[in-house]
Amino acid sequence: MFQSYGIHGPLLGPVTGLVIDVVLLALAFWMLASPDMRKATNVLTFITLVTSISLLRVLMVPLPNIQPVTIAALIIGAQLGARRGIAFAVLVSMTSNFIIGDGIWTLYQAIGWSTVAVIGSASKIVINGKLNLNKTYVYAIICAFLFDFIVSLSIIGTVSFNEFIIYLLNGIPYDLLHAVGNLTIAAWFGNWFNDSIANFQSMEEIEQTVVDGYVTRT
Amino acid sequence: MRVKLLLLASLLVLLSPLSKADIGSEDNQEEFLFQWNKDFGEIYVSTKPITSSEAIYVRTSSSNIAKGIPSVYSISFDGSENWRVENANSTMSDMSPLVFVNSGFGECGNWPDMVLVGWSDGLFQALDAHNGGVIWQYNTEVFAWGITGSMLVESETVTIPTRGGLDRLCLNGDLQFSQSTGNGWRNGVTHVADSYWVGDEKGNLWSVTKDSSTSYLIGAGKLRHSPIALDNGDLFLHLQTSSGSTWYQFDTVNYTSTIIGNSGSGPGKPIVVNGYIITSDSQQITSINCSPLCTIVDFEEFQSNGEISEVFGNIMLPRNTVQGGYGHFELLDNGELYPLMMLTFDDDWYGTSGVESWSIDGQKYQLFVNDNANLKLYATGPADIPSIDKESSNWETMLAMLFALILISATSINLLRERFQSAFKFFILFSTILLYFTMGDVIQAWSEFVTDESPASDAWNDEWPDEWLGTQVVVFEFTNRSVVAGGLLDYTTVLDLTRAAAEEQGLPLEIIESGLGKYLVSVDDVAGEGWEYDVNGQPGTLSAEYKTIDSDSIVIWRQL
Repeated sequence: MFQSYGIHGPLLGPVTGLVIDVVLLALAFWMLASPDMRKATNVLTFITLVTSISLLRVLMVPLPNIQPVTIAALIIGAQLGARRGIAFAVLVSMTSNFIIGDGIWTLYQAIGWSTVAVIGSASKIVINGKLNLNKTYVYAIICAFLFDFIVSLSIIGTVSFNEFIIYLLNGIPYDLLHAVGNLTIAAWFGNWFNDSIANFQSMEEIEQTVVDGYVTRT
Repeated sequence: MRVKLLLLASLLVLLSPLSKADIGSEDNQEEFLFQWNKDFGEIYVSTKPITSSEAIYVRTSSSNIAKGIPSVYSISFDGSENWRVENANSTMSDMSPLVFVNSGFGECGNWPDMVLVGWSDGLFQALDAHNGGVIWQYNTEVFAWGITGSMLVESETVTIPTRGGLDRLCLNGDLQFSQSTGNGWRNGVTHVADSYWVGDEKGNLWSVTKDSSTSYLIGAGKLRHSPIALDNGDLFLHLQTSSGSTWYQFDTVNYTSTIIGNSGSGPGKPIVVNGYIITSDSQQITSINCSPLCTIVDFEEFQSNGEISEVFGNIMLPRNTVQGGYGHFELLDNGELYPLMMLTFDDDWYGTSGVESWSIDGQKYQLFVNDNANLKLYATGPADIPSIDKESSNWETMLAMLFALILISATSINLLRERFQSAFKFFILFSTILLYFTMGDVIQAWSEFVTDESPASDAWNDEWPDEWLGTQVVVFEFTNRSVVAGGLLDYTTVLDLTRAAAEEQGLPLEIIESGLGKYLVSVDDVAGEGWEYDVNGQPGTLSAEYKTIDSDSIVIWRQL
């Protein structure tokens, strides 16, 4: 989709595209290979999360550069940690672009949202399970510009340095809309989304407690 | 209680313009009924039809003779053709308005009823209004094109803005004088303070007399209309610039110009209605009061780049977009503009031609024609064919305003209750929606601000005909062939130009709407891996819908 509006990034052949997809998938599964993700319920929960946010992204395509994934990646990174944040970012990029349009930009979007998730994990915007909205707003603005910059790097190699700078400058209104969109999503759905993930965690803890209790009794 | 009062106040504010709209639409509109139409084929019409007491006269234009020969027609009021005069050499956008001259005599002799025609190949003809016969003709200079501007007919002379000068002829065809100016396009002439005034393509205003020709630089840009003479002897100018347009008031005594304000790109041809100057461009229609200093009175968002017409005391102008149609505005006594409605037709398309109107014995008539070259006559009174398709242009704006008002009210209420987080939620939602709806204009303005335009010469191909120099050219580069269309004029965005070029070459385009603007999917049913464009050799960095271009831009579409 990104290629449709201005300068195109490098065109991918089928083999290169396949290699990138395999690498991204491998990265996602490696990130998911943590002990608690071996439980079927957690895996199902994670798949639901990825599917719903991907669907939301696809539905919101008509709204220019309003990206629900950015805030989701930020909060998931903060709540569930960098590994699951990266896995989420990679899988959402791949899943949604499967419908919207695949290309070299998928790699850069995956990198961009993974970076957002890592920032989220280090941001301390979630303390004791509660989302600090004011802090989230600051990170939402920063992440909008950072993500767009990372994705813009996808055209390097096809344009001169001057053209790249002009391309970046032309993108500022879109960055601004991304930032304002992030603020809106965070303000309206941030707490709800954060609480939803916190509930999943609680369920895991409950489940773990039950299992531990059963093991102790036997 | 405080909340209820606020809501009540909001509702009152909201309902007041609705009441006004209802009154306006009932009081000011009469029902015009379709009478007949005449389709000139795959050619276009860029200028307003004119009428005499005996006939309608209209000119067509074409840059591709295979699709039709540029012609002038005389048509009876019942729709039948009286005569036509063709000029197969005139293929560079004929947009010099026709002028009807009543028979008369003077110091330079006699002349019959005539239709004066300036052709884009430089030929100027005086045609017999009754049979189309050439009474006399005169050749003017040609550089890429010839006559495209508006002539000025005075008591017994006609002054013609030629490609690179000004020629005054007696109405019997005798040349009185000829002076050189800068090269012009669509640049009409005005007579003020013993001088003829005409603009050029470099932003100069020329003062021309029989013995001299002097230029005054107004600004970097293009003057593409007849200067408007003001009551105090000054001139009003609407200069097209690289980033939009600027209004000027020019003092013809001290030769100084004063900026009045800035507006959108692609200015139309301003007119005077009830003492107010009405201008148009890609952004808005504006009302300006110039007594004695020019000030902006009012404006309404509307895109029109051609002729503005006064129609039965109101203002009508063609919307120059793919949706087409005609904007209809009332000019109130205080100079404010009040939008009445959009007139839409089945054949709506781009258009720059004004609306001709007249009345006979209380019955009113209107003639509409756009780039589709389908002339339509509508009239008040009996007819059994469906009426003009009327469409309210306001309901979407009203709905958006209502929603905005609700969000602002919610923000205010929460602020009053000191619920700052909730207030922020409504405020940021309002900001997002506002930014979303203004995104197109923001992107366009920002792009023009940050992008350094390259000259068209960077992308010029020496194999192209010289006639295309200074015009807009579009190249479709398929993987196995190229299609080139040149000689196009006055398109303001890459998308508009692309559509015109594709139509001329018979290439179907598939264009889809998306969040980032319109997206060209395929050309001639070829999608490939996508299409990207360059403007004058510089890669396009935003949707073709938002990328503005100059009058001599070269756009290259490449299949990937």
